[in-house]
Amino acid sequence: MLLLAFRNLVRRPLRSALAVSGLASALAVFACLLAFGHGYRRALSAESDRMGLQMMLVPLGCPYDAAARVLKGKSLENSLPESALEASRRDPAVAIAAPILMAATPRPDQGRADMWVGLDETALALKPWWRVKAGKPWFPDDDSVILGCDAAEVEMRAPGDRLHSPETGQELRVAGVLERSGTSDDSLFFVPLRTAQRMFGQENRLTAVAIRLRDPALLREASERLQGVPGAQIVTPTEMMGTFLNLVGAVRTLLFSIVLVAMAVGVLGVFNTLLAAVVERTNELSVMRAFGASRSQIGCLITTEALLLTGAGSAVGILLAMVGGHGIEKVVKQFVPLAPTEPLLTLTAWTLAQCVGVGALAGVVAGLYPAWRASRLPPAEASKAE
Amino acid sequence: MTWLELSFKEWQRRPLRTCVATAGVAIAVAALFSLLAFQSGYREGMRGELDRLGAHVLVVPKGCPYDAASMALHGASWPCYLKQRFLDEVRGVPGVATAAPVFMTALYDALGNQTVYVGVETNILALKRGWRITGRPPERDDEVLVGSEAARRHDWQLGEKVPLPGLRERSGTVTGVLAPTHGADDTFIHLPLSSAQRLFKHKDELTHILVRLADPDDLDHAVALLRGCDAGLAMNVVPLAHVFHTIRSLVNSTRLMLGCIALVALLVAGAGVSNTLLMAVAERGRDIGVLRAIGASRGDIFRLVWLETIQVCLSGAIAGVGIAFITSRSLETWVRSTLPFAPTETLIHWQWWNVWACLICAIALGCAAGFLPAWRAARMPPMVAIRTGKALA
Repeated sequence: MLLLAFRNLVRRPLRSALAVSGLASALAVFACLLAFGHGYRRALSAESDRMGLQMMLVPLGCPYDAAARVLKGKSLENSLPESALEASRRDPAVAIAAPILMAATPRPDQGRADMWVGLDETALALKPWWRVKAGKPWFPDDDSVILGCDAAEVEMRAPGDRLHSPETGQELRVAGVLERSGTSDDSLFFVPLRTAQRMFGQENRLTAVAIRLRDPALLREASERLQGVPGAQIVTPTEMMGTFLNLVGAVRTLLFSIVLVAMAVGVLGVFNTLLAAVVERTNELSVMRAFGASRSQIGCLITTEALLLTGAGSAVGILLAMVGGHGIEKVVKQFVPLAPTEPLLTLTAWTLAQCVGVGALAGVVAGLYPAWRASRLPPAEASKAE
Repeated sequence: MTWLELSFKEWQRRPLRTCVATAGVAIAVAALFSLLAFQSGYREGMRGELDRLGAHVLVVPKGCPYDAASMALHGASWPCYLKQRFLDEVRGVPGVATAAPVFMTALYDALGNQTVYVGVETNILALKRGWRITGRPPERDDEVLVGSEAARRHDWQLGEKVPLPGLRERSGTVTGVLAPTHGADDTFIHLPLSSAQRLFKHKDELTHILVRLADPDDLDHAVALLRGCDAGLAMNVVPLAHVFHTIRSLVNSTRLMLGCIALVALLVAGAGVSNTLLMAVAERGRDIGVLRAIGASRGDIFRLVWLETIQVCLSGAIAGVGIAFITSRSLETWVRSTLPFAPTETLIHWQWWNVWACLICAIALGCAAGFLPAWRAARMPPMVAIRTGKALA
């Protein structure tokens, strides 16, 4: 029966191809969205897990806005004074308080911004996964830089090489290259805090203070106390992640609804194709009935055709998503604030299964009426029409 | 019989098939239309909302200013508070024309209905220029000014002594009713600031301060001064123009992505129409052959099929605009529940240029989709078409 259904579809190659292409483009967008959603969530949670901290002390103003500014390579509107670091270190609930200064040098011609991060020794305690692939694990002197593995690849540097930063006029020596961690750390340039402050003219200023508490249960109490630090406010990674996921979730729901519209339109196309096929083949089907094919067999035949059509649609759609997905990802990354550095578009088996499932469902829905109609054809009347 | 009439025949011949193809176009156009209408509505709604707030700068407790702006606009219980003494400092900053202190809190009854109490001083009237009050603003304890929607819901009259919802054993006298503002103010109950602070046990605390500047063009300078004053490190100064700008750019990028997908839907619909017409051409081989034999030129046949395609697309577009119009209300409720920072005004604006844009889109789609079937039909040699074409029942 499968062969028969296949033959029937091949008989009208252009018609079948058009129906398939419609469904395929809708499914391709669906697959991309699905994969994108999974990727975004996973990347975000991986990033926040690895941060190894329980809260951040950031300057007043929207932390979301600040993060977006840093990513776009604009200078921050405001920063923390170093006194905030001392205040948080004095707090009894704080185990580790690590100062961070982040700055970006935009490279618009390459469509990216180099992110520089100034750290001091306390940061090591917050980054237990900090492993060096080559070179030294910490800065031997003030003029050294440790590169994330992607940054090292882009700059084509190995430990011992010189690195000149034209924007700041700083001459640096590469001390080490980090192992791949799968987070945004991979593309960062790490320098000692003092060097970073000097390079970007931010003496005694910080972008944030990362804090680990003695006991996570003290979170509430400590955040109340630290909220009082002048010019600073507390954000927790879960809070920030929640905000992002909410925002991305809202956008995703809207996108999905329009994809659904596209799918519905595609299903209508398949429906029409099948219906036409049934009408065209009235004779043939009635002969089959006369030769002893049961109603359910005829119904099955048409349903198989529908499933074959949508199956081909899913296959082509997934293929399209695989080929064109990376182009789409580049576009999306420009629009989505705080896009994680990991590739967002990962077609997992689960995503593929979902796509195929949706495709099959579309086939069943589209094939229902034509199959019913075909099975209703009485053999006698059908041959009379001849 | 004109070509136009002839091209209408297909509707009679295969009503279901043609309707399905039309429905495909209709759905895609409806999505496109809603998107276009939503865009203009959102922008205007956002602007109107900020205008109604009447402030240029919002002073709020530490935390995300977008949350704070949303809370100030729509009414909510605030998680943290400002000290009342900050108010004097804000007032002392040069360039500040009016600084109106506000204490806002929301109470919920068992059914989840929200009642928002807003404590204000009479200087709020300098900010809310659009307010039309029947009666007078509250001055003493136990006097309330209610929004039109709140008055309607509780059926309160001017001068009536009413129990305050959510607060047991408290009552107030309605001294004023606010004319409809079409904003969140309509549902609020305004009290004098001092009685609100006492009522909710937050003495000397505020939730936010609305600041109106003497010169709105001097925004950046005034914001810098506000941030620089003594209390500046303990509060968040939010210039509303910036909030507006950021949210708009966010919505714009979302819209762009939505537009791309709507375009995909339209292309899929085009493929469907093209397919339908191809079938029609294949089925009507004999008709077309006869037409050719009695003197119709290739161009005539091409035009006939092309007209048909455009017809299908155009009627689909008209139906789609109709669908969008009918469903706009429910669509709006849904969008409002998904989107953060949705203004209270209607989001979906009906504009004629949107309708024209959709119709033009559909005609362009029809031209493109009709090309292949029309070309095929025109290319059929008449005798072959008559001999092999099937006339179907």
